[in-house]
Formats: sequence, C-alpha cells, structure tokens
Amino acid sequence: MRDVLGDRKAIVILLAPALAFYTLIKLVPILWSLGLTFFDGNVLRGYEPVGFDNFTRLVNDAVFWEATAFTLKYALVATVLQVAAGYLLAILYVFVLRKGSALLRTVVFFPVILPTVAVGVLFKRLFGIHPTPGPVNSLIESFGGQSLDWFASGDTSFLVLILMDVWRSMGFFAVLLYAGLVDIPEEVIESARMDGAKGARLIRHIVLPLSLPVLLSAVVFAVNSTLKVFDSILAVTNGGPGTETQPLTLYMYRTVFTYNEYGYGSTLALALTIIAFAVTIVIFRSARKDVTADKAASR
Amino acid sequence: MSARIRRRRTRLVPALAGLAALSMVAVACAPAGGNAGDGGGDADGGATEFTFLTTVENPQIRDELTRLSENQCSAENEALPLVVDTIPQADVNQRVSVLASQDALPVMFVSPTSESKVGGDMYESGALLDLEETLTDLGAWEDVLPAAASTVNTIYGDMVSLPFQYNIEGFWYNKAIFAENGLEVPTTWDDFTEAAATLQEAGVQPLTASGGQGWTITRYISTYLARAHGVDALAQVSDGAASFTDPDYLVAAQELAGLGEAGYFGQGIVSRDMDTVTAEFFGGSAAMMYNGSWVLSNVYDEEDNTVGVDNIGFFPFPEVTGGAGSIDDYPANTGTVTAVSAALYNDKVGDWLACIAENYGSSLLENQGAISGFAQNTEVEGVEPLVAEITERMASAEDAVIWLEGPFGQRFGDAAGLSAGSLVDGGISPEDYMAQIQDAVEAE
Repeated sequence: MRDVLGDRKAIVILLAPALAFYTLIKLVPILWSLGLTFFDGNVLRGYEPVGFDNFTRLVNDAVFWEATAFTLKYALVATVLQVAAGYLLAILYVFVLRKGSALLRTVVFFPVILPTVAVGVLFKRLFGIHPTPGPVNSLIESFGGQSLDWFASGDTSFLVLILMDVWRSMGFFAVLLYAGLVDIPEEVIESARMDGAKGARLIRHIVLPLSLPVLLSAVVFAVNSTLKVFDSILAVTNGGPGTETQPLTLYMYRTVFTYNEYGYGSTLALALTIIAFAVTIVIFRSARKDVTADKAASR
Repeated sequence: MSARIRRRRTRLVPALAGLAALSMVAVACAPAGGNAGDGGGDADGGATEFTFLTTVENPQIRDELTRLSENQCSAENEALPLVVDTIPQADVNQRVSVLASQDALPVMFVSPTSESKVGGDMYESGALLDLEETLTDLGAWEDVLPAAASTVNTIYGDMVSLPFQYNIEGFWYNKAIFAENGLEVPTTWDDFTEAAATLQEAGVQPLTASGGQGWTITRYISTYLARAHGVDALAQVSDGAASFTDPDYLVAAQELAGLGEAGYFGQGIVSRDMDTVTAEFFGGSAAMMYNGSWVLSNVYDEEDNTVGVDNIGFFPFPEVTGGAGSIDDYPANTGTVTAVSAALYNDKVGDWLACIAENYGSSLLENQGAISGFAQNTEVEGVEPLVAEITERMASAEDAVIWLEGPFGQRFGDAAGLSAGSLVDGGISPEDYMAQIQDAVEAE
C-alpha cells in the first residue's frame, strides 16, 4: 500500500476518474455559466457575444437591486433568528433538560425532514384567508379582531416567510449547536459555577466563548442557505405581492427559464455567488479578528 | 522476470488504468441509449408515432383525441398510433425550448405562448408547421371556424396553433341575485359600476377575481381600453403610438382600482386562487365573475354549481360611453398554443390532422359540452341553452379583443400579472402600475 501511495503516477491514476467526473459535472457547468455572462441568447436562438452588456444591464436593473435588498434582508433576519432559536434550544437541551432532552430534540428536529414545499403549503394555509380563514386568522377573529390577508403586503408576507424558515430550521441548528455545547468540558462549567458564575453570566462568559467555533459554523450555514432561499418562497408567495418578496434566486430562475435569457440569468447567478462568497469571507474575517483579539488580550 | 519487462509492465499498467478511467468517464457522460427524445420520428425525419405533448392541467384535448383515436380516427391511429405525454404547465417554456434545440420535439406539442408568435424563438427557429397552408393542402381548412383562425392569426401573427379550444370571455352573473336586487344586465360601464354599488349596499359581494391568476384582473384593463379606444388599443402601445401612462390609458387602471377601493371584490383578492373564485361564484357568494367560456363545464357540473344552471347568465364586457370600441367584440382565445412539428410532418400526420379538423368540434361538444375552433360537422343534439347562446355570440363576434399580455413578452406578463392583485387591493397605485408595465414594454 505504501508503494502505491508513494507513487505519484498511481495517485494520479486513482484520483483521475473522480477528478475528471467532478470537473465534468461541477467545474465545467460553472465555467460554462461564467462564459454565458458574456453572451445573449438561449438554446433555441443560439448565442451571440455581447461583451460586458449583461453587467451594465445588471447595474442599471432596478429589479436586481430590489431582489438583492430583499435577499440580504431575508438572510440577515433569518440567520439571526434561526441561530438564536437554535442556540437557546441547545442551551435548554444541555443545561435544563439534560438527558431528558431526547424527545424534545426529536420533535423540534421533525420539521427539518419535511419537504420545504409541504411546509410552505402548511404555512400558506395557516395564515390563509381563503376559502375560510386559517387558524391564525380564526384566532384573531376569536379575540374580536378582523381577518388579515397576510400575503397582500410585502411586510406581512416577509413575516410569515421568516416565521416559517425559523420554525423549519431551528431544529437543525439546535442539534448542530448541541453537539458544540456537549463538547465543553464539564470541569470548566463546574469550576465556573464554584466561582459563582450562574445563569446568564455563565452563558455569557463561559459557554458562549467556548462554543464560538461551532456558532460560527452555524452562522455560515445559515447565511449561505438563506441567501439561496428559493423553494419556500416560490411555494408561499411566488415572490409577491408584485416582486416584493422576490429573492435573487427566483429572479434568476425567472430570467433563465421563463424569459429564456440565459446570458443575463448567468450574470445574476454570478452576482449571487459573489455576494455569498463575500458574506462568508466577512464572517470568517470578523471571527478571526475576535480570536486574535482574544489571544492579544490573554498575553 | 527481467528488469526491462518489469519496467514495461510498470508503464503499461498506468496507461491501461488511465484508458479505463477515461472510458468510464466517457461512458458516464454519454447520452442514454434507445430512442428517448427522438420525438417519435424515423431516420428520414417523418413521424412513426403520433406523439402529443400536452399539459397535465388540461385533460380536455388528450381525452378527446384518445376518444377520436378509438372511433372516427381509428384508421389513422392504426397507421400512426397516438402516444400522449404530459408536462406541468410551468415547465412548458423550458422543456419545449430544450426539445426544439435538440430536434426532439414530438409531432404535436404545447408550445410557449410568447415564443410561438412571429418573431418569437420557437417561430423563428422554423420548428412550427404552417397550419393554414397544411390544412388548405389537405382540404380541411374549411373545418376551422373563420373567427378562430382570425383569433390565432391576430394573437400570434400566423396560424401556428390548432384551435382545440375556442373561448370568448365576459361576465358571468347570478340571475337570481340580479333579480332580487332589481338589476338589469349592464351594457355600459356606468351601468356596471352602478349595479356593483347596488349589490354592495345590499350586502352582496359584487365581483370576484384572483390575484394569484393575474389575468382575471388585467382583462379589465385591456377590455376597458378596447371599449374606449377600439380593438387596436394595445397595438398602438406596442407600436409606440400610445403609452400606458397616457391619461386616456391610465383611466382603465384607475377605474379598476376604484372597484377595488369600493370593496367590490371582497377581502383578500391578492392571495385568492382560481378555485376560490369559482367556488365563490358558483356557490352564490359573489354576483359576478369575469371568466372565459371554458367555465361552461363548471356551469353544468352539479357539484360545482350549487346555485343551479338556470341562475347563471353571461353578458359581454360593457361599453364605455363615447368609446370607439363595440360591445360585440369579445376577448377571445384558442387556449394554449398547440403546434405541429414541421420536421416530423408526413402524409400520416396529415391524415391525422384532417381527421381531427373534421371530427374534433362535434366530438368535443357532444362528449364534454365544450366549444372548439373546429366546425361542428355532425349535428349534436341536446345542446344546453347557455352553450348555444355562447356559440351564437362567438359566431356574431366581429373582432377579437387582445388580452393585455397578448402583444408583449413574458417579462411584461409578469410585470402586469404579479401586481394585478395589489392594484385592486391598493398596494400599488394605478399610476405606478401603469408606469411599471410601460417600463416593461420599453425594456422589451
């Protein structure tokens, strides 16, 4: 085995099929899509080079900026709430329920395995007004209020979308962060308690700093998934009313598959990739700064 | 084993392994075998099966063609068997474009509306058969109703679609509610708004429409414009002679928004879907509904229509006083574009088309109570009165009113349709709405 792994040719031969396959199914389409940003057309009409026209159009496209603003707002709010809800649940599992948390963990995790579209339909019905008021509107009516068409305005639609996303994914983040919290040595917690740290102080000064790496992973996961949100919004609001809840992914999908503009759609895809990449780098950089600051402080 | 042989083998093994790896990749990436995607064609390009790609949501055409294949067109079916495949409506644009780019279209297929017009990618690719020329050659052009042919030509610029459906649109109303409130059928826009106000005061929801299906709302704008400025009102916008933001065009959106502001559409129009609209109207909780003649199937369905067949009536979109349009011009359409592949056409396909043209109209009316753009060559007995009335109105129509999205592309369709509910609901002002759709016209 050592002979084989020590032989460069053997390594290349062993890796070549997988590498070639990966290149074909991953890198080629990415490069292809990148190339399309300099073209206009579609599979039927053919493609003609347009230089940087798609990028000029992107900069001047009001719908693009509206979709970008919505995407960033959605990613920010959803990430904060998803991770916060997940973290609170993880603390509940580890420090309150302890070994009795298995049932709650399973129940809270359950929405994660449901198909997104099914969850979307569920929330649409939950907040619906037709053909009869859904449970939320019925509750409002039972308190003497008037039913509300939650999907008639961008703000209330946004609220429903965020609630749905948090409900659906907090179980995942709770489990992810739970794994990080149980890794904190019991002795550290105990000694902090003996020193008088309890409740919020214990969380703030001991648990939070020690779970920062896994918290960072959770934030990166959350940001990237919420920046690319698509199916849940398609199922619940279809980007409406108008285009008020249209994220970049949905705009990109419509541009390519409804308007048949493959070149401009690829430019939108590139913009989304750059945004996701930039946000991830910013998160990592800020986390690294924190670590450096901590080290400097400890010297 | 000598060192030389060992060295040679050492070189040979990586070479063979590399070759095997490349073969595996090549095999993995090669297209699947078999005749999938050949669209039912033979090596010469002609069809070997009468393949038909239609939408999942519309069973009417495939059901009737299957019936014809077992009866009037059984000889044609024996020579060229009918094979039906379905796709969701939402996938039509993408799937059909890809099939066309790969020369894998079926013989007959649902085609993307905006791309099938003259100037659209499907049309310009030459994939669509010229149906007027073909049916004339087959001696079957007489079997296409002139009004239906005119509608197809007006909308698409050429005869690219078989008129498997022929619909006119207008207001369906509840006769009992009208009688209870002492209302006559309105013939002018002023009468119409007065009738709606009377109903509202009486505690009856006057109108229903769906924000989810924006066309049920945008038709108010296009038909109002046709009544006010004539049937070429939209053509003037597409030609650049007029703009949606012109005051005399803006008024159409203002009138519509006024209906919404008065609460005539009831609560929650933005999220209301089409099932709710039909349930409200046929359940008697809304007095009027703008819709097409395809709802005749709901009218005669006892489960859907709980107010009774005799209580349902139809009237055309009212005239605008002093307008250039006529109340006898109806918004009309021939359903989803159903085109025929130019590449797969041969004599057997021609036989099928001739048989469809001759028999489809009567067969559809007899079996499904629906109206198509094909002549009814066999007399159908027991036609329901409302069906007969609609057929008569179709025959008397002088010009077709094009719907708002008709002359424009898909981007315009989204700009108009996605915000239509908000226009009625007050989420967007008439000025902003018309500016938005005018921007879409200019962007295209």
